[in-house]
Amino acid sequence: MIRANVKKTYRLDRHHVVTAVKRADMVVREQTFTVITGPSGSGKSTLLAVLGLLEEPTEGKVLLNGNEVQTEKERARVRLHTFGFVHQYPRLHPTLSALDNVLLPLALMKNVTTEEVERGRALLEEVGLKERIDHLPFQMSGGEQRRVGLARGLMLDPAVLFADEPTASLDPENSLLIFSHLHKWFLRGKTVVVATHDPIGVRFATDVYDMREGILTKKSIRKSDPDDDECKDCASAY
Amino acid sequence: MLMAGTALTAFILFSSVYFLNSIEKSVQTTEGRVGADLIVTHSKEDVNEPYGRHVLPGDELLPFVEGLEGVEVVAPELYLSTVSTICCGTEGDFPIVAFDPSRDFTLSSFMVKSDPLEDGEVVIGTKAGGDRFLFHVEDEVIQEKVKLFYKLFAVKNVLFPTGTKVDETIYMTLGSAHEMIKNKVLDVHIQEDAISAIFVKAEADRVTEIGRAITRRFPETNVHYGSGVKKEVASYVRPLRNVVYALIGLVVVTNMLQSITLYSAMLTERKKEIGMYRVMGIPTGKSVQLILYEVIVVTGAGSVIGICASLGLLYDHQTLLYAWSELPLVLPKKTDLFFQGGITMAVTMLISLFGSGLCLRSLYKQKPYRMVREGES
Repeated sequence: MIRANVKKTYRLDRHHVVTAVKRADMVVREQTFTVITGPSGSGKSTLLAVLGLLEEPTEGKVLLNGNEVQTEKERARVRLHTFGFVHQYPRLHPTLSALDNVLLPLALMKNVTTEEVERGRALLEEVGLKERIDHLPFQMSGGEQRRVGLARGLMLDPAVLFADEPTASLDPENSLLIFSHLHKWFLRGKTVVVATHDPIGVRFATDVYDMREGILTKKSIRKSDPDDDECKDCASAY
Repeated sequence: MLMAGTALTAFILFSSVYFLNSIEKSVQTTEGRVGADLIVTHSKEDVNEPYGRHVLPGDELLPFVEGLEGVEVVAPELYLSTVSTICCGTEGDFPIVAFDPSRDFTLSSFMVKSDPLEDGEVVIGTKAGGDRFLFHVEDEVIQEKVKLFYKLFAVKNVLFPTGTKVDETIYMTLGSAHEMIKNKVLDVHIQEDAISAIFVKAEADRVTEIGRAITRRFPETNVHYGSGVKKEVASYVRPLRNVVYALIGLVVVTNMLQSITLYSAMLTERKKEIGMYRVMGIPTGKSVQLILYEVIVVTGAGSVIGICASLGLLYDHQTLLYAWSELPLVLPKKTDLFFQGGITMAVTMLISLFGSGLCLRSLYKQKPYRMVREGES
């Protein structure tokens, strides 16, 4: 469980300070699909970075299972072993194949075993990239690269998966595909936290938060229902 | 691009080492030539001018000088004649001088090939046709011959350009000269044991004493002391050598800056990818290792390409370079080649590692999230 009560400001220069998150008090429960909605520039990505231990809050604390993670080294360890990240732009290694990109986090740590290679293949197949396993990033479309990034985020079997605008600039079909994969992960008993302004994402959510001008408010706790075409939270989401 | 940059660095560095070697060799040979501690000539001759007709009695003088305490090497030379010719793109007056290859320490370091000179063979200066000979000096099939005093001599070797009268001279062995004197084929009469000059290497603290002993015993001789000339050469050469070292230093610094710029551009381009590794929690050491490993692979390949290109170009155009630079350019021996290639590779890699390390250091000062998100909405 992640509990956060934070404020985050950035100093641009000597005279200018931007408050990205003015007030955010939230709890990410285990085995939930939390969606943070809000318009661009509302501070949801910054909040996700604070929750994912990528940024330190200016005020307040982030507690992981009741404990504060103090040092950068510890934060990196938590990110590696407990958290997974899916980013708007996956930033794949340009000279490595899809499979090698998925295996890269592991390969950087140790020798990759045959079982792990098989797991990497299975993840790519699961996200619909069976035919693209040996392709280089430049040989894939933006949506496919995004799915490679998703498979890479799942490779280390994270307990909590953070996804920052995973469907930005994707067509509705590909967006639905990405959310479906995230949902599968949630159904396996994992925790998923998504920052998005894509209304489709709310259908999959169990917990919905709304972020406007740096202030977070809780909208609802609902039943995750991907087929809920008339989802009322979706209508008001950005 | 990175590989090309590294290849260029390695090319310049390796070529610089080659030219520096050549300059060193040139300095050594010049010092060797003028570096005789004593030059003994007839008192009516000028050491700075071509030989004249005045000779010394070799059968008495040589054993005497060799027998003096402190004398290390004695190299005699005998001027035979000057031939005038116009042939095959070579024209002028060419002095013919005989020397003893087994005792010589003044000419041998100028010779392009290290093969010993036999009787019946000649070695020629660059202006005495040697410039053309340079183009096929390594070719065993092509043989050039020159007719001197109605006798054919095989051109066995060529002297590097010296910028002195040596460039116009044709050298043969004393054995060949003695045979011609014996057979009376020369146009002038020379005694069989005659010598024009002797070059002496001696212990430094005995030079004056030796010189005095020679002039006392043979009043017709004139002794020129080499140390002054040596100092003069050194004073001319030192600034040149310093300039070359300074230029190499400049090349290294320029390439270091170029390398830093290239790696900075490369790492800025991959900033978000590196940021992503950090977001994933991969320890700094591991991601740095990945980047440095790539740097080593790229630099290694680039430097091998650069060294091979430099070596290929210098080897293929060796003779052209001889003629162009007028330096005793010498390709390193195989063992030295590996050593110099290894050093060049190591320096190139160090420059690249330093350049990339510097850029990585500034990258890792940033927060991972900001590295990934920079420039995004």
